[in-house]
Order: sequence, then C-alpha cells, then structure tokens
Amino acid sequence: MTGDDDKQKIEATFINRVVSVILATGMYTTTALYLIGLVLMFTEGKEVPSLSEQYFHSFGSFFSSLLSLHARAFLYLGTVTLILTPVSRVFISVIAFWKEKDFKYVGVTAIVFLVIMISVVVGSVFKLNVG
Amino acid sequence: MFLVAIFAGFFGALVGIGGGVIIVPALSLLFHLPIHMAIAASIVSVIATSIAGALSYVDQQITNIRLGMFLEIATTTGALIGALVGVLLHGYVLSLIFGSLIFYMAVMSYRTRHQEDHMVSSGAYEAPESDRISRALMLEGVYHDEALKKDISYRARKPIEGSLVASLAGVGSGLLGIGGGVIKVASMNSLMGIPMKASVATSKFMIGVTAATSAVVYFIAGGIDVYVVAPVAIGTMLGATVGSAVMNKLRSKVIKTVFFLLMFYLGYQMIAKGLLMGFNFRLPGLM
Repeated sequence: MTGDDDKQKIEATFINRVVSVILATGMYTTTALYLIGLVLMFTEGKEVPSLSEQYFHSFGSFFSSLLSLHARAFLYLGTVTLILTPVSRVFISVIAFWKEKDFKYVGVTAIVFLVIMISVVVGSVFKLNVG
Repeated sequence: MFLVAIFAGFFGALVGIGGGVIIVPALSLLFHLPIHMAIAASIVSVIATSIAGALSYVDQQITNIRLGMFLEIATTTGALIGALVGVLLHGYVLSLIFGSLIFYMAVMSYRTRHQEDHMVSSGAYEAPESDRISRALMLEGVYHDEALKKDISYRARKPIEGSLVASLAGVGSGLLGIGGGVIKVASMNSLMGIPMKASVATSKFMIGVTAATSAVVYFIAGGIDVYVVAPVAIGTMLGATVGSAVMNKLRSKVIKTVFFLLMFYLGYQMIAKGLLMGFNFRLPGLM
C-alpha cells in the first residue's frame, strides 16, 4: 500500500505542475493582450463598434487590424486566449494523464474535451440576436 | 465598471464563486445592458476570475484535481445545455430565474452558517465509509488549513448524486452567466462530504472549464462584446487574486454571513427587474 500511496502523490504533483503552468501562461497572455487593447481603446477614443462589427470574418482582416494596432484586434485576441486557456488545460491534461498511464482519467478528461467540442457546433447552429 | 468588477472578483474568490452572481446584476441593473449580453460578458469574466483563483489554490495544493476533472463531465454537459436554452429564452424570464436562484442560495447559506466549524472540529469529513466509484477514481485528498493550523484529510462519497447536482451548476453557467460555484461548493460540501475550503478550491478549478464551454457557445453565436468583457475580466481577475490569498485565513462563518446578505439583496433586485420587464409590475425599492 505504501508504494501505491507514494506513486499517487508524485502523480498529483506532476498534474498539479502542468495545470499550474497552463493557467499561469493563459492568465498572463490574456492580461497583456487586454491591457494593450484597453490602452489602445482609450487612445483611439472613437465610438465603440457595435457587436456585429467587433467580429472578424477572415484571418486577413484580423491580422491587418492587429498589425495596425487596433484596439479591437487585441481585445478580440485576448478574449480568444481567455476562452482557450481552460480548454487547453483539459486537452493537455488528457496527454498528461496518458503519460502517467492513468487511463481512467484519460477517459474522464477526454469526455470533458468532447463536450467542449460539441459546444462549438451548438454555437454555430444557434445564432444570437442582440445589439 | 472596472471597480465593480474588482469587488466581484475579490468576493467571488472568498466564497468560491466566479463573481458572475455579482457581475450579471451589476451589468444589468447599473449599466442597463441587455441581459443576454450581461450573461455573455459575465461568463467570459468568470473564466478570468476562475483562472486567477484556480491558479492560487492549485499552487497551495488545496484543490482536488481528480475530483474536479470527474465532476467536470457533469458541469460541462450542463453548461452546454444551459447555454443552448439561454440563447433561446426571453430576457425577463432569465432575470426572474436569476433572481429566484440567488435568493434561494442566500437562504441556504444562512441556514448552514454554523455547520462548517463543527464538522471540521468533530472530524466528520474523515468518515471511513467509501463507495466503489469514489475508491476506483481515488476521490480523496488532504489539505492544510491555515486558520485551524492542521492538515484536514477527507474522502468523497455519493459521486453520482454529486455529479447530478454539479450538472445543475453547469446549466446555471450557460443559462445565467454565473460560474455556478455556489452549487458546486454545496454539492461537494454538503452532499459529497468534502470540507468547505477544499470544495471552494476545487470549485474554482472547475469553473473555468464549465464557463469556457458556455462561453464558446455565446462567442460563436455572436453575443460577446469584447469592449465590455475586457475591463470586466481584468477587474475580476485582480479582485480574485487578492481574494484567494485571503480566503484560507478567514473563518467560514464570516464568509457565509456576508455572502448571505449580498445575495439576498441582489436576488430581490433581479426579481424586481424581471417583473418590471415582463409584466410591467413594479416592486418597491427597485434600483
């Protein structure tokens, strides 16, 4: 039993570290992008674009907006990294549990990841009508 | 908007909620945003709070990661369903549901305010009986309580019942833009027998993924205003970082009492707003 207990403890710290690194990276990236975006937003001082104008419809328009330092591009990218942080935490946990050969938890985390993927489909089917 | 967000984040971390319970009424009552946009903005800022708080608790090793991952199956499924229903419902219905829910939470929190210190001191969380699923999935843990100055170890029970209640938290997240932390904490604390602080930390850990699931729906469906989300998210993140650092040093009873009073007030305000919007009926004292 002692051997099992030791093994469990080491695994916990490994997963702990992986999760900690992902969350920290996501948090700092998002914060940086948002801060830049907010500063640009005040220097631009124009009216806030309506909801439908905030969305980008092609990678090209997104990159040109990013390169010409528009607040909109940074706020948008910050929001995307923010939403993707927990999603990547789940995805990388699948790999981390796999490396630890803890297949029960590979299954558990894979199901969670699958549910998130379904939400992508649901979001694109039901469009919201506000603003 | 920024200051309200800092307050919501700080307080959210103290009681293990994403702050959405405060953000949605604030955006809706103070800034008069349409409730769907308030919900969508809140859900994204809930992710931000949760990341800051979750990080701190994971580093302090109060979080039970396995328990969190296990319950996330239920919470993300709920979040998906909640977001779908939320996108389809009328604004005033959402206000009424929101108000009733936090009203109910306030009452529950008031009724259990003396329980926690008693449970910890009597060692009730170390209850030896454990079921097959909890054993197979190693749903147990230990953390160091700074207020009581000792290690608290515990075992989970009733994982299926806990999952069912946690999935409601997911629905709350998608439908109402809240982290659903209060429901997750209640489900772990009173149903599954997890100590309050481990429940709060693990709840914080799950909230990010739960909220991200609904945020994906709202984002792709086109309901997220990044010009509202950014200041709110930064504010809640700041507040949450401070809140998480302070939480383990406070008495559970103090946390619960403050929480009860605030929820009671916001619940009343949201119900009043829903009645005004839906039925043109005015309750006294509406903000």
